[in-house]
Formats: sequence, C-alpha cells, structure tokens
Amino acid sequence: MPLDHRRLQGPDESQPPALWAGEGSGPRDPCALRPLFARAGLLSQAEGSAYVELSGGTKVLCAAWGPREAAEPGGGTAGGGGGGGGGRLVCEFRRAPFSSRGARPRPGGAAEREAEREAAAALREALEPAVRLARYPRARLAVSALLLQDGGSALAAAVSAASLALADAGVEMYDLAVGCALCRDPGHPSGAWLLQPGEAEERRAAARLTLALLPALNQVSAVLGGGRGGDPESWGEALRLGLDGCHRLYPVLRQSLLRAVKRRDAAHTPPGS
Amino acid sequence: MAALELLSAEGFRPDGRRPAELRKLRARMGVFAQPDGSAYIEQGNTKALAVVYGPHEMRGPRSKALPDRALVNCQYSMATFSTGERKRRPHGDRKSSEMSLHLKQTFEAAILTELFPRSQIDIYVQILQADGGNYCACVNAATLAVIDAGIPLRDYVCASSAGLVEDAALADLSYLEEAAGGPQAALALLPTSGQMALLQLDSRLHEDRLGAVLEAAGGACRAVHAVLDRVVREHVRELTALLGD
Amino acid sequence: MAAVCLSEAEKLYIVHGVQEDLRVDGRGCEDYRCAEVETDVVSNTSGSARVKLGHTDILVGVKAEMGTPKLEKPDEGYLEFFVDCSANATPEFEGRGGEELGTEIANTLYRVFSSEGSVDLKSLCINPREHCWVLYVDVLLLECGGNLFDAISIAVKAALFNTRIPKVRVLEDEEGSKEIELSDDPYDCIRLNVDDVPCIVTLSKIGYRHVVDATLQEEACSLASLLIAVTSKGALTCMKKIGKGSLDPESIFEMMETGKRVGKALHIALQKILDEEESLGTTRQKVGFLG
Repeated sequence: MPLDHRRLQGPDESQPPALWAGEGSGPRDPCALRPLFARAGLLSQAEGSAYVELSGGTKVLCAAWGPREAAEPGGGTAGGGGGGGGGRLVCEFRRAPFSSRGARPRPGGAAEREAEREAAAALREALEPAVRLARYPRARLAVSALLLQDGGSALAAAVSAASLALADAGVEMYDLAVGCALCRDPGHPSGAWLLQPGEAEERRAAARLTLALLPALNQVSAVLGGGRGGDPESWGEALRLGLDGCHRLYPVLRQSLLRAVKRRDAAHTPPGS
Repeated sequence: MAALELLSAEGFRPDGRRPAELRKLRARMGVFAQPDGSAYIEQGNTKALAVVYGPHEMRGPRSKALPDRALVNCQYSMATFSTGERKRRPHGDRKSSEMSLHLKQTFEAAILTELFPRSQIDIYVQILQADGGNYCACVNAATLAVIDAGIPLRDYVCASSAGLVEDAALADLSYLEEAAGGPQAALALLPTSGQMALLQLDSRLHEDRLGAVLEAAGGACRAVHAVLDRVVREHVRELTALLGD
Repeated sequence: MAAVCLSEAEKLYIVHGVQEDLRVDGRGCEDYRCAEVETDVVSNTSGSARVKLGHTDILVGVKAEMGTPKLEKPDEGYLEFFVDCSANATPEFEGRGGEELGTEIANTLYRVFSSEGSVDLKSLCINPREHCWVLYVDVLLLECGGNLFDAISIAVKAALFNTRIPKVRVLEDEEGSKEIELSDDPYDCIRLNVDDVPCIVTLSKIGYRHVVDATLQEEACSLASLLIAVTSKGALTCMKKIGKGSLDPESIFEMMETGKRVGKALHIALQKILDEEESLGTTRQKVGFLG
C-alpha cells in the first residue's frame, strides 16, 4: 500500500502532552513558597542592582541610584513624599513588552501606562518606610524595576528586588522590605489562601493581596489587596500567612546581599594580599 | 423639519419668558470655608461655583510678578458631567482656555489691582451644570466670590448675554437659544459707571441692530446687578449679626 | 487641601488627645463628623450626589452612555471612574496639578469596584457583544478637609443609588439588523441595586491608636493609614495602606475589626438617609449649594 505522505500518520485520537505533564498535580500546599533566587549587584552601570526570580517564571530586574541632587529643591508635590525635609524616592515600574502571556500589549498604551504608574506608586509606598529618607535632605533616590516575565506575584517580587537594589547601592535603610503575594482560590469553599500564586492561579483568583514587611522591625510597609468580599478574619488569616512567608523569605535576601558584598570586596582587594 | 420657533407670535420664548425677561437668578456667598472667597450662582439651569484665593504671594516663578499691580489668574473649568454629552476633560481644551482668558481680562478691568503690587489673585470658576450663558454665570459668581474675599473692586461686574431673533432682542439666552446659532453677544458691564469690561459678539449682526442687542444685554446686566447687590447686602447683614452677638 | 502647618506642640496635643479617646473637635476615635448627603443635584446627569463631610465637599455625577461591552465580558456593562481635583480645592491643583491625586483616587475606586457583585453589571447589558450601558462616574473634588476617600465613596454610593437608566428595547427586523428603541416614558427606568456597593473606611494611625475620619490636622499627625472597603454585610473587598509610614501587624488586625464595625454602621446610616430622601419624592425641597 502506498503511503500517503500528506496525511499525518498518527493515532485517531490524540491528547495534548500537557495532560501527561505533571502540571496541576492535585491541590498544592497553601503555605508552600515558590523557590526564590536573588542576586544583588549584577549590573555594572547602576549604583545598585538586584535580580529576583521566582520559580515558575516571575523575573524582575531592578536598579537603584543613590542620592542625587533633586531637580527642583523642595519642590516635592503633595504626593511626592517630599515632606519633612527628607529626600524623595522616585520609583519606576516597567513591564517588558514580552513579559506576559497572550497578545503583546502595545507598549506605551494608555491602559498599560496607567497600570505601570499604579504599580510604581505601590512600590514607592512599600519602600518609603524602609529607607532613611531623613538622612538625604533635598536629594532624590531613584529605583527602576523592570518586569521581564510575569509569572504571578510580580509586584511582591519587585518590592523585594527593589529593596535589595537600594541596599546594594549603599542607601541607608532601616531594613529590607520583603514582598509576598497571596490569592484566594475561588474553587475552595472555605476560601483558603495560597502563598505566592502563579500566573494561572492569580488570574482565576477571587481575591488577591500583596504585602511587604520589614522583618527586623516587624512593621508592615505595604498592604494592597482587593477582590470578592471576605470577613476581616479571612483577610487576617491571609495577612498572617503572608507575614510568615515574608519572614521565611528574609534570610534568602540577606544571604544574597551578603554574597554581593563579599564578591565586591574580593574584586577590590588585589589577589594575594 | 420646521425650525424651532424661538419667539412665538404672542412674543413668548420656548421656556415661556418675555424677550427681556431673565431666568431665575439665585446666589449664595461664602459656600466654602477654606478659600478666601467663594460663591455659588444659579441662573435658570446654569449652575456655577467660583472661589478666590488671594491676594497672596506669587506662586511659581517670581519673574511673572508685576511690579505695579497684582496678577489676576483665572481658570475656567466645566465638570465632566455638566453638559448633555459627557466631556472628556474638565479644562485645558481650547474653549476653556479662551474662557479663562476672557475672565482674566474682565477682572483685570474691575479689580483695583494697583493696590496689591507683586502679588497674585487666583479666581477659579467651575460650571456644574451648563444651560447657556456659561460665561455670564461665571462672571457673576466670580464677582460675588471676589467681594466675599474682600478684594476692592471698582464696581460690581455683571454679565449677561443677548441675542437677536426676528428683529427682537432676547436677553439671557438659554442653551436652546444659543444653539440655534443666531447672532449673540456677551456683555460684562460695570453698572454704576456704565463701562464695559468685556463685549464679545458672535456671528454676523447688522450695525443698525447692535444698539438694540446691547441695550437688551445692558438692561439684563443692570437687573443682575440689583440681585447681586441684594445677595451681598444680605450676606453682610448675616455676618454682622453673627459678629455682634 | 489648604496647607496645614502644625508645630510640634500642636501635634503632641492631637496625639495625646487621641490617646485619651478625645479628639480636637470633641469626637471619639470611632466617630465620623457630621455628614450632609443630597442626591439629584445636577439635573443633566443620570444620577448625582453631593456629600459634605466636615470641610470635605464632593460632587459626583453619574452619566449613562451607550457603548460596546469589553471583549472579555461580552454580556456586562462597565463603570468608568474619573476624579477631577479641581482648583477650587486648592490652587495647587490648577492646570494639571490635580491629575496625580485624581488618578490615584480613580485607581483606588477601580480596585474597590473590581469585586464582582458590587454592582450588577449584567443588568447594564443591552445586547451581548454589541451594546451595553457604560456608567461614567465623575467625581468632582470641591473642597478638601481630610478623609477624601471615605467622602468620595459615600458620594459614589449615593449617586449610584440615585442613578436612573432609561429602559431600552432591542427590536430585530427580518434581515436581522437590530434597532434600539428608547422608552418614551421618562419614569420607565432601571435602578441599580446598591446593597453590595462598598464604602471606604480610612483608619489613620495616630500614636498608638487609630481614628476614623481624620481631619487635615490629624492626617498631618499620622504617618500611615489603612484604607478598607466594607460592604453593608461587613465583608472586606479591598485593603490598602497609604502614607509613607509602616504599620504594626497587630494594629492592622485591630484596624480591620474597627473598620468592619464602623463601616457597617456607616452603611446603615447612609441607607436610612437615602431612603428618607427617596420617600419624599418630588416634594423634597432641593437645597444644593444654596443652603
């Protein structure tokens, strides 16, 4: 029998390979944190920089610049955080055009810009309590975060990366701000919260929450969440779970900061001395 | 389609007014506590708010300060929901910039600016509901606000619009009459001295008819003046009653 | 937002007062200022409300306009928020000065209303994929005397309660082309169910305690506030920390509890006023800005 080369010689019924891949293998442990990789001081042009990656695809690159003379001395706007004679923290948050799944959004589109601006404001509010702005009167500090890939919990990763970058730039800080995200699974009747949701979980979540904690001081520097209503108890539970997550992430970030300092020391001291 | 009849055979306008009749005018001074002066005015369905800050030190670049008199700074804005169709932005478009400029010119003519050299007076007006005669309502509201702020004026500035329909001059046009597109004039008058602070004429009008239109507008301005004066006197009476037990 | 300048002594006075549950204007820590609510103040909107909370003065207009549904939700209408911080409130807002604050408030409103069920968006659909009602909620900030967010959310809820959307019918002829017919009767209209529309309660941390409905002076003494959106049933739909300070985890739990309690009471009081005003119908004397 001659073979018909134009026809695909496969079984009549086929299944997508995703079915066999172990994705979605049962309910996941709500308290499980996604492994986090952090590295500080990897960009040579910026004064401080950090890269944070959550396993599962969230990648954030962050750069920070230490105190510069403010362009308009004392001219901080009402929302600019310039009060009290302290310095100003300027934050920027950008999403790479290829960062998200689905159609590539038009870069610089109005909706895109709006979302970026909101995230930047959230980033600033999370970082401001951690930085000793009073030590930098009439100066401005800049942080720029670039989201390379959005695999869920992006803002939380950006907060961690940005505080690492600021610390790496040698800015005086009270503590590192550690970010952590949560979402409530709609499928769950009791409304259980999941720590550090992935992108798919985040998309179908009934409610979302992003937290930032200064672990050494035990102060919450950012709370930002919304979604379907829940009791204060339910949100309180989420808060507790998230704070616990922040505490567990803290050593990882500290380690990476220490490693960056050691690496820099090693580069400065001539070999053999 | 038959054009809308702006003046019936019996001499009535679409809303039932006589040609020289004004819409109901109600006003109140001292609406807000924080600004130096504020006022609210309703002319029929046109509603406007005005607030005044100043005279105060120059805000922004000091080079803009005038050595011999105060700078009058105006901003006209319309609430996004004030018009029939929703506006996209409250101010900053060409029409509002033009209106801001007109207000500035009007009040530079009326305020004794030479008493406050190197300072600034801010007048902000906001249209809450637009139904014709926006400029006039703004001027009248701003006059009250300036008086409320205690800033010396040469005279009240009273404004009213007038139009011409079938040889009859109509005073205080509503939106319907404005939209019909006939000749119309907006006049800001200092009633006691009879001086004009601003006159703006839209579309073509025969020279011979100008007198009639101006007379209608002037008459309306004087009527507005009577109302504004009553509002001010009442407000001052209330204030003095509060002060002296 | 008149600039507030407080000396250290004045700040201390306020902080100590809050510690004793007695604020400068004689209120306790969980008391609101006297609020004035009036609906239907701007006649060329679908619904409007004016709220005066102390010196904070907010005017909200809702306009219903026809639009096309969003791609991802073909059978729902949607809400658009716009906040105009007019120069009336402070000269700093002149020109584009108020835009930053305006977008921040609008974003917060989007977040508060993002939860499904706050407004029944399905009832805003005229025919799926083609036509729906878009509710433009325009907030006008006239005077700012502290606690903007709460006042705005009260005004938005009152304006949505007051909103009347004309009923339309979709007529389909033989060729399948659709025509939309507006009802002739102006009283034939849809009302929105606002039972689940949340109100925002802002709790400002002052010293070791937190207060609701802070005045400008109190806001100057507070480094961080927690903004909570509460529905009338006491469910929290949105949480946000604002300000440049940080909060203790324990105080957040306390603030959430207070927020729920205060929010529920606020909803009951607001609903009572709205119903009362509604029952007066056309006999009500409109006060507006003349009162």
